[in-house]
Amino acid sequence: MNFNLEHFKESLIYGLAYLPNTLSLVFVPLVIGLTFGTVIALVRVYKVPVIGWLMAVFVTVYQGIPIVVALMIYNLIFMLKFNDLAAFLHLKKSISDMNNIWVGIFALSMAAVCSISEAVRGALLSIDKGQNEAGYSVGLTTIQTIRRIIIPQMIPVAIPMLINNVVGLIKASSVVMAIGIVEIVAGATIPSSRTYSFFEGYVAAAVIYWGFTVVVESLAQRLKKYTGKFRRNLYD
Amino acid sequence: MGKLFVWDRFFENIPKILPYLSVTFSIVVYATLFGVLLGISIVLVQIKKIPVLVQIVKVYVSFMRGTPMLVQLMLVYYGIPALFDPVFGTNINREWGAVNFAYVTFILNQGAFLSAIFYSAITSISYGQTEAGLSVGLTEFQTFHRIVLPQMVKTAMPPFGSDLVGLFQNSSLVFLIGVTDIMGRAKTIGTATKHVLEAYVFIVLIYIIISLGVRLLFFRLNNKMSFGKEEMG
Amino acid sequence: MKNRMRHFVFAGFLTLLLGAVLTGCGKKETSTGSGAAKVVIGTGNSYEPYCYLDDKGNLAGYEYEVLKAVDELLPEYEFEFKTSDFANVLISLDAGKIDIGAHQYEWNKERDEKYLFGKESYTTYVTYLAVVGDKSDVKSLDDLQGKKVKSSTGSNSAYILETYNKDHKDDPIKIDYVNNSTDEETVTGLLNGVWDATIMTSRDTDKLNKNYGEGKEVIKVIGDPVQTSSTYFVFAKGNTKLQEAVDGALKQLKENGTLAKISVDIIGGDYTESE
Repeated sequence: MNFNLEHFKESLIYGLAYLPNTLSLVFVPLVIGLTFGTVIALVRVYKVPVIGWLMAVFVTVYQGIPIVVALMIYNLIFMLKFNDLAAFLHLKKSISDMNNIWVGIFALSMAAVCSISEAVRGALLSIDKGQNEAGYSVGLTTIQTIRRIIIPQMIPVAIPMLINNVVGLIKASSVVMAIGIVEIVAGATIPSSRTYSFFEGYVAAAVIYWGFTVVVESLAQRLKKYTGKFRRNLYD
Repeated sequence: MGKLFVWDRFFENIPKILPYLSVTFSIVVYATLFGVLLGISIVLVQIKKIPVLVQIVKVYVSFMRGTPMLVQLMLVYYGIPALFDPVFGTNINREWGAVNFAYVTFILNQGAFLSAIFYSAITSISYGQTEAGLSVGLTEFQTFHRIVLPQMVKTAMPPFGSDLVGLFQNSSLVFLIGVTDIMGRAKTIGTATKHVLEAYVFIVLIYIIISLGVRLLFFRLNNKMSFGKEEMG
Repeated sequence: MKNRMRHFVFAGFLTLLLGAVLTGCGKKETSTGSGAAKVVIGTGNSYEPYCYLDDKGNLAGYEYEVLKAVDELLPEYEFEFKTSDFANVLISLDAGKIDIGAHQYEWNKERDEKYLFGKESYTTYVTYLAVVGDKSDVKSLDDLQGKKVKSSTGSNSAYILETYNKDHKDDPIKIDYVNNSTDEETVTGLLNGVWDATIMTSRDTDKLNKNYGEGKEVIKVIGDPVQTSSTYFVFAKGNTKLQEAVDGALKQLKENGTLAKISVDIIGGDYTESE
């Protein structure tokens, strides 16, 4: 087996062309995950009756499902039921107008909500209970305490875990190729179906992902320094 | 199109899929056993700061953490024989089944991830602990064995548990290189019986049960290792 | 002490598991003492009725039966089968993991540049555009510009579509590469308009109609064939010795009617010479 540099370069270009797809597969779920994940974490940490328990069960169970399998199931249901759903909601769209990248985004968002809620919950739990009491004692409401005291302290603790989540999402986004969404891996192997240089295609995909995650991690390092700036740390 | 989900088909699939759990489990067992060994070796290299090796290990860990499992599977499946066979005069390219390459990929991947978990666990223990041990006359090995290691294991336990849950899930990708695990079997049942949803739903249940089992196990272990410390929050 | 006991039990359990796994792996390595050269066949696992896994998880289908018959005529070779998904078969051939690729491969120029094709075909393969039964606005590839067509990586239909797009860069066909999809997904997607068309043989649409149509023609082929071709076994470049041996055996199977019989038994009609 010879490594063909020409084909590798072609795969690299094709893979990069689909970077925007991977970006939306990462950042949309990230935003959704951060929003709902934080809400779920707060609901669980502040032990909201019934909902807190339901969320705990949902997150624990859902985290057991591999993304590929969930994706396959959602895709099948999407293909079968989308037109009914659109008719029900009186949308003037049919499935042929829809890009199935949304199925991928949905599956990844569900996974992101769960894992981010766990990260945020861990960070919330790491904050001493006394901080809540301090907030209440100066007359803040629960919401105010959370917003002004708990969340600012939580962020530096949560960041390393969140970065892991982002890197995890970047990598997980590659499985959507199983339902025909073209992202980096599928993009990099498009020329391969003509040239049959699949190995070069996979190497190209690996290089792009690696570069992507290294950039994210180095940005994260800076962010960590920045958000930790006002935090007194005895060990630093 | 007929019905999407039929319970009869669901139950028919169970005996067809269950035997393939052994494939999923063997991948996880191999990856964990050898992954722990590899992870420890990597941490040793990092802590002892062995020149050259440190840099190699850094690149290796970064690569394993920065690229998707799917791509790693392909690279190992096609790339490792191309690197090894000419050098060692072996012929693993043809003699090994796809499942062996799956083992190798998962061991390499787990080694990197576990090394990160072990490394942060070991560095989370302040050097004061070691000094304390040495000052009461323990040898270096005794200090490590009796003071540092137990604390390290406790810190590493929770991330190790979630890593294991993730490992079970990731093993579902091996069907892409032609290993028939429970996922691959579900897919091929879909081809042979024309209906795939029931098989998927069944393996989702299996994965959920496994993940709950692993979590419960680690929850128990974690409680056992509390060493009289009270849990916060 | 109780704790220690537990450790032993756990260690014992692990050893047992490991042992079981190792012996499981070792099984395959037997039966190579007969002196016959081992030939590894790469085929797929989800293209019914050509190559798929049966109820017990064993490889079954047309490719398997034909190659088994070929093997019987060639005492100097011993065939062994390796399955993977479609896109991986030719890469495995490229990487030297397998000696013969068997997955209803049609001849095309790009493939021919990289691999050695058998000279003796074993099935005809006439592909058409396939659309849902009540669709009438699509007659040829030209009607599909700007529309979505399902294909898969490394397939001949991808090759046809990409070649078409090369000449029609202004308004190309949107190719959806869906790898290892099941028939169920294909039918569902076409019926619900996820894809406007796909490329397949008329015997594939017959099969889909039989399995999912409940007697109706839900999917139909239209217009003239997109490509009229046959399928061949694919070998690594330079492996002419094996190729000639297999071709010879195939020829014999055709002449004595065995091939036609396998085709009728498994595909449901004689597709070995013409449609």
